[in-house]
Amino acid sequence: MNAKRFLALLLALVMVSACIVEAAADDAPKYKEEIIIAMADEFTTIDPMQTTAETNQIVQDCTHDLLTDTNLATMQNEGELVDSWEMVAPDDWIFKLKENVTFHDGTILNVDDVEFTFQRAATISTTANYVKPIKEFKKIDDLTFEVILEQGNVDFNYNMAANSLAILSKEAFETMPEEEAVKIGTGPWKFEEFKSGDYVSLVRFEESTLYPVPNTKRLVFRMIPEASARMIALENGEVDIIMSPSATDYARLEENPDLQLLTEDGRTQHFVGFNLENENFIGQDPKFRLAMSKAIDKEEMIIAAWDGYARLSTSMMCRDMGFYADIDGVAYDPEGAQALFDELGCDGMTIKLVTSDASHRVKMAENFQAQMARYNINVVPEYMQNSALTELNTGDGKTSGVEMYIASWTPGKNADYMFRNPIHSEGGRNYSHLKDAEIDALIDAAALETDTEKRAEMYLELQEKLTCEVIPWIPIAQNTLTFGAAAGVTGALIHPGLVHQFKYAEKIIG
Amino acid sequence: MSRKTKAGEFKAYKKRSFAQEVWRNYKKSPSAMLGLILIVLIIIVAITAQIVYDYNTDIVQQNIKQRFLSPGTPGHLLGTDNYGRDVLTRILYGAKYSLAVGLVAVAISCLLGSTLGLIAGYYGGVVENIILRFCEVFMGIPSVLLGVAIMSAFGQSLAVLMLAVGLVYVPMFARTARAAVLPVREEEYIEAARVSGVSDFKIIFQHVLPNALSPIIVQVTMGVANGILSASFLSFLGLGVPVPAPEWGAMLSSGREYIRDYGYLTTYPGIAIMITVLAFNLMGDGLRDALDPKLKQ
Amino acid sequence: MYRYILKRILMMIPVLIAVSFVVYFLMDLAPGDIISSMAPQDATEAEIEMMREELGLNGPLIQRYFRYLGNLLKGDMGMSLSLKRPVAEVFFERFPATLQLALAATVVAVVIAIPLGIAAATHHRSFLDGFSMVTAMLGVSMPGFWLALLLIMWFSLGLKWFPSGGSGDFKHLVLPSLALGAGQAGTLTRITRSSMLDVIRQDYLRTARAKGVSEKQVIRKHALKNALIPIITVFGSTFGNLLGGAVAIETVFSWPGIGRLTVSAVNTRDITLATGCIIMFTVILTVTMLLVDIAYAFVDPRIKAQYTK
Repeated sequence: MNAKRFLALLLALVMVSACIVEAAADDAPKYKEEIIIAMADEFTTIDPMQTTAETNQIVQDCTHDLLTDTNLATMQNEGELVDSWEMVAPDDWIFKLKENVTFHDGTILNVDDVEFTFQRAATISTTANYVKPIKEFKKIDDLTFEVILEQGNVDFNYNMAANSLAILSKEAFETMPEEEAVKIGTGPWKFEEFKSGDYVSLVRFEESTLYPVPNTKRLVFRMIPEASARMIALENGEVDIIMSPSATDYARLEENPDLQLLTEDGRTQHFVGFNLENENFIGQDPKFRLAMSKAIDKEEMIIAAWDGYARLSTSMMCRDMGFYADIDGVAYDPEGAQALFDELGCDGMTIKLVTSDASHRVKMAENFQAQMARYNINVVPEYMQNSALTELNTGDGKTSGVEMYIASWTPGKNADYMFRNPIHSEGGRNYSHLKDAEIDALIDAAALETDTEKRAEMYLELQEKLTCEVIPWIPIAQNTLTFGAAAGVTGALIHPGLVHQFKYAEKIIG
Repeated sequence: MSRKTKAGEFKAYKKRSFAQEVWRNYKKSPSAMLGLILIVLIIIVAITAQIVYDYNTDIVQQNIKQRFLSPGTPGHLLGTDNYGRDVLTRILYGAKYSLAVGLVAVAISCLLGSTLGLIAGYYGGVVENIILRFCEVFMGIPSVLLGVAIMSAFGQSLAVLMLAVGLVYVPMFARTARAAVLPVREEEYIEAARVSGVSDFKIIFQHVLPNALSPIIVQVTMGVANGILSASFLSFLGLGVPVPAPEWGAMLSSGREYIRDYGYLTTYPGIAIMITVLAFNLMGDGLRDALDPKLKQ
Repeated sequence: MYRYILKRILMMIPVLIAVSFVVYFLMDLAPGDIISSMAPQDATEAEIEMMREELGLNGPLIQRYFRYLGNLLKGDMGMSLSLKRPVAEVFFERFPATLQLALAATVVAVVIAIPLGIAAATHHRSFLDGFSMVTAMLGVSMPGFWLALLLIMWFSLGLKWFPSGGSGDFKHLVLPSLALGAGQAGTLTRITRSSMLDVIRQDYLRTARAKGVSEKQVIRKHALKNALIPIITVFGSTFGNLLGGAVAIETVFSWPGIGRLTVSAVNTRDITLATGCIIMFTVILTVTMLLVDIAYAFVDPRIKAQYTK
């Protein structure tokens, strides 16, 4: 056979096979190559340990993995990089990693990477908290390790689900500069480019052994702070998914056949709280707090702050949590409130309220001020930047001058977490400065109780006591979380903890 | 003694004629008169609104059942906002914030700035150098950003807003005043006054200041216009007068969220800002033209 | 001439030090610091103290400032506290966007203002004059951010011709540069008109006219050239307003420039980023002024002669 003929034959073969491949590909659905997500807040860093901001963690969720994570379908804590774990004792845990997990740099995950991650975490303030309970880290083999804790913790697996505790590659840190090494994770997406104030882009990680290769080739997160601008971008087809559309656009999203509205109940409770340590404030009197509970028309506040898209809270505990009991709480009763206010001599009094400058909080405060004006109580709101509010509220309650405040709390799945931080006298986020021994004892006892039924009773008692008697804050609502998306987009999952998932975002186009 | 009274009389006569002359020139320009009439109207509106409306019932109170009534609804000529509050009431009541910020801020910058400028121009040398460098520092920072920094440092309130806007314009007044003083600094009558032992303070205020008056007056009117614009922008960024005070910039800012369906919430406050600023600009223009012959002297 | 330029550049140094001082202290005065917004919800005191050290926020203010100033004099603006990247890097990454916007706005302003101003001057006291002066006055009196919102309402939400925010292709640039250029155009129209009026009345133009040079030629060849000098000066000195205005426009249009960066740095209390950005703003402003002065000197030989003395 001469060379020319051979070449011709080869060419023919190639063409035929190309046709076959193409025909086969025609059967499979075609996916849009690029999915663009419009975010409201700025992405700032790819280093998972350097941030607690949800916007960063949303991107990091695509590129990096945790040892355990919350399954959004079942809301249960499950292994992500961990295949299984065993609690030998509350202070002795054995974890087994999944086999053959590849990092973006081609190395295979082993226990050394976990140990390195924990060591790095211990040196960074954002993450130190999660690894501090570890007294000893023991490598059993390449994939198995044991941790001994300083003290027993039956929920230690939740610590491993902290978003900033993403597992990094030890080898990458040894061979690359730190700012490059932090980009190396095990997720289905690889970091591509970050343009500050503009976008961050990811490409799919085709060599992943842990995840199926995503159908989308490129994932772009664009920063568009204005809700109306995000909406227009979606309508014009410039982006595929938008986060937190404005409530005035919900109807438009639902009615337009090319668009869809995705909603999920939020887990963040918004509330109006009292500073119980301010001795010059009448709010130290539980009767006043009860009056205030009766006085607020929560339904009206929900319309004012979220255009009606929120679930009214009747309990101090967040809905959807384990051990939540749907108690009635204190009902709206303006006459009852007025009677109590009269009894306490509140007519014409002035209350200093502080809150942050976030849009919904400003709206809550404005509405609260308007509602109180009906009882002839002047509310003087002061708006500050969020970190200033945190500083003021976590500082000394006796000298802060705060009388009332508006804030929110997003607890983990764990019921203890709901109360320990914002209510327990030793909690780090006790804005109300509640120091109630009885409540503390209840929280502690509930955390240690192993009998589920008894534990449920304890949490019910806590809810009743806190909501109707102690009243460190008045629960208002849990707002609805929403996305807007182009029709046909799937895999955009709203996380009640605000770290939404886009790993599997895709759109079939033919 | 008698000589002194004569000089005083003479001065009074001169002053009156100066003002009269300016007014005569000013009257000639229809646009300048329009500016003046608008300003008078806005001031009347601002004062009347304080008397007619009650802050607690008309500004603070909300009516959630009447949200987003469109303009032209009986009783709500300009519609209602997202809390069901009457937009017209808020705009009328809000006139006082813009006026107050504009006027007080300019008063601050004019007093501080002109004094610094006069001192710099009169003394010259090291003092002048220091003051000029100081001005350079503050002029180097874009005024909006300086305002943002001041507002975040001292917190949101009407007083801080006035101060922030006022401080921003200090160097401008200082420069204007100094420039006006320079040509007279070496004049013989100043020298004579100095030699005869008249205090510097007296010389500056009696002999130097009148020369700087015309450019300062123009700067004041223009300054009010700029001050109102700056203040509305700071409020727009959420750094100005806190809600529910119906400051126009803040109204614009909160209406922005509803711009698509309820565009009037951003349109009307914007028009209010524009008319006010326009009025001061027209008056400034008219004053400059009216004072022009004096400036050329 | 060169000595003059060098002197001007050297004089910038104390000014910049003073600016850094003012801004750093203002930022420090602001309630709340970046720590409380970065720390986890359940952070302990010790962790917060650790974070403070990590970010170089420990120690008394004076000590921190001089540490910062020391680095600054070495040309190091430090690391952004929130972005964990060098301030210079972040700034120059976002500066082109602002420059692009400022240049586009300048083009808009010039294209509107020069013809309008000339027309007004050459048709002095006509309807055209009145029209252009009213337009210019409105341009000057309109808040830029409000015009931006109106443009979004009409051309983005209404007609859907242009995107309402973000950056990218040419289409994204149209509305922001219009909004930013309009105010500038107002100022520029007024100056063009008045300096043209001044020049037109000059004797040499009368002579040119008498010699039979056509009116168009007079305007184009003689008047415009001479009128340009004050126009350039004023334009240079209003460049600061343009940059300031960019802060507003960038905010409304989500434009990824330095104006928005600076405002968000102030809001997040990212003290190094905010101070660095404002210092850089000042440098840009001062350098622009200097360039204008130099350009001015080249256009007008009398001034050049002054410098070389």
